[in-house]
Amino acid sequence: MIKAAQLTAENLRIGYGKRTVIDQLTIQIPANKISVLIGPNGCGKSTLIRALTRLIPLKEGTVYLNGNQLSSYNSKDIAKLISILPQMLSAPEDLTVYDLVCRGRYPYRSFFQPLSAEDHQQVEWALKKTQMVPLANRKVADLSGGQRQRAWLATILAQHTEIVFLDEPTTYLDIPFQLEILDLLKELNEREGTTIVIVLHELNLAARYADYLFAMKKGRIITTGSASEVITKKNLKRIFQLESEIITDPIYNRPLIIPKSSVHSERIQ
Amino acid sequence: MRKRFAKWYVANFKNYTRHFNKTIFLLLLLILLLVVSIKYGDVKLSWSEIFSTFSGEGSSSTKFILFSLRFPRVFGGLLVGMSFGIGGYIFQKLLHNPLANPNVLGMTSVSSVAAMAVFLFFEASHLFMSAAAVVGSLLTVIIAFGLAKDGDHILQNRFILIGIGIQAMADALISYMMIKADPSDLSTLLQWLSGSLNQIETNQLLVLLIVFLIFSPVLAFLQRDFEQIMLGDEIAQSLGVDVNRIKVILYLISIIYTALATAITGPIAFICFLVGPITDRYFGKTAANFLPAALVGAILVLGADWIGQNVFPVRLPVGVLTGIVGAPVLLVTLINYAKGEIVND
Ligand SMILES: Nc1ncnc2c1ncn2[C@@H]1O[C@H](COP(=O)(O)OP(=O)(O)OP(=O)(O)O)[C@@H](O)[C@H]1O
Ligand SMILES: [Mg+2]
Repeated sequence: MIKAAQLTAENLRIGYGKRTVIDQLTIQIPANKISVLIGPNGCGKSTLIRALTRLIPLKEGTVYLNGNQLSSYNSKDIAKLISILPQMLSAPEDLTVYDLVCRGRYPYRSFFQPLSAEDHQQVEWALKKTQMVPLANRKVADLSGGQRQRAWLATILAQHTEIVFLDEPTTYLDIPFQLEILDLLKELNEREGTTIVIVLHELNLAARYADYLFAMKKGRIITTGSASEVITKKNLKRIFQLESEIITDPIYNRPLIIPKSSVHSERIQ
Repeated sequence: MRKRFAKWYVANFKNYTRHFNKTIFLLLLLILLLVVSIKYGDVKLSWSEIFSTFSGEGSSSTKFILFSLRFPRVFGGLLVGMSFGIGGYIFQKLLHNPLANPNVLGMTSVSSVAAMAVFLFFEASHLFMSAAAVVGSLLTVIIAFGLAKDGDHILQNRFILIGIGIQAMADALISYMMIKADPSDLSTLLQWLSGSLNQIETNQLLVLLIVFLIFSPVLAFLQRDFEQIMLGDEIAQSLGVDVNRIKVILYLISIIYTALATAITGPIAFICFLVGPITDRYFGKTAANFLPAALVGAILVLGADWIGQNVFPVRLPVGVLTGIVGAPVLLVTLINYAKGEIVND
């Protein structure tokens, strides 16, 4: 297993226009691990990911990749080390799935260079991993939301990077596919040592798959650690205003949340 | 695995041939138009007349018709049409919106105002008119982007509305200048303002040709980046494209093309607007179709000009014809836009 690239950030201030969403944030992404970012809607998870991957400019602070400022790398070199699956993607209508996944090979090709055998191999591999092989020659516009999500995921996988960010990759997927994608990411992490950072709203899946959890609220990271450290009654109340019971999952040995609806929790009290 | 490779190559090859065939078709259509425009007009020239004029013989009247009237008109129309085509296409694609084009955004109107002002008040050379048109167009875009900016984002609807506002102001200025203009300049101005190939200046055309020779290879180099950007700005950036830099270069190219063309023929109505939807329809939405867009632009300009010159009892400038075609298309696009069928991101 190779040692994946190191990504850290110091004293970030990030926002849109004049508005600051995140202030004074310092984070170190654990290399070769799966980290999961949780937090309520609008707390700044996507914003943080965009800043860590140079999709939006920093207002203050620095992101370091392998000890060097991220801004000192050229775009293609970063794209060989870090890939991102953004939260919202529009469908490129006329493209076939295969062609879309080929677009993931962009950073490895120079101006007029056609796709190499290795490019095709990576594309094939990514299609197989996401079970998109049977759909490879279909137009992206004709796919269901979940299939489209998998096509995009395959594109990111074909990019073959040491660090992979995914912003809610399971949103449109049915439960078996959610598990399949997370298992795939886990396998990628275990086999190749890929560093993976996922934003997830499904807390029970977060607890099961995360080596490390970051919990955010209102633009700040308020607690971090292993699943059993972060997923506690007290923390969930603090982060989500959620009343819950936590039990231990008998199969995976991770915390399992039983959320209480607000009506219910009032009655119990 | 090998099998699928093969299948992909076959599919891809088919795609390429289809694309290639369509391009060849446009090219043939364009050549046909060129030939028709050179041969047929008020006077019909036979092949032997044309060839003998080329080899230095021929009567002085055919010489005049060919070298002073038809060649400048046809090659001017060709080059200007291609410029409007590429310029319009790039804008529409980068903003993911057919309404975002130099005609609707007021760039061509401001170019016209600038070129007109230079012509009327400074009696400056035609090259100076070209320069003024470029500056005017550039300013329009900078102002529209500046006012439509919300943080790091461009608000599309606001951008388009601001463009339409700028266009209205430019049109008001044009009217004002018409009133102030010397009566002897009026007929030239009127013709120029409705977009016409009558007053093509060879030195302006030469500048456009040089610009073409410089920009064409640049566009070829940027083709793949452009195609990545069409997936969306964020994903393109994450895949390693310098989105902002590439976009600035492409916007500049687009502005220069349309402004230089406007300085030559005046604003040909809706020409930039029409090119994007037509090209998308026949060549798909995911490849960088610069060449097809250029061909579509040239075919529209030359076709509309020839029809305007020869079909009706009065001669109509090319802009009147494209206006008649463009207005209903704009209306339909606006209705679809209001219905939310055009998604912009
Ligand atoms: N492009 C943008 N322009 C302006 N403000 C934005 C933009 N994107 C996000 N914001 C604002 O920044 C804040 C954080 O948004 P962000 O998308 O990072 O939240 P999030 O944690 O990813 O939420 P979700 O779980 O809903 O995806 C929100 O208040 C949002 O309104
Ligand atoms: Mg988000």
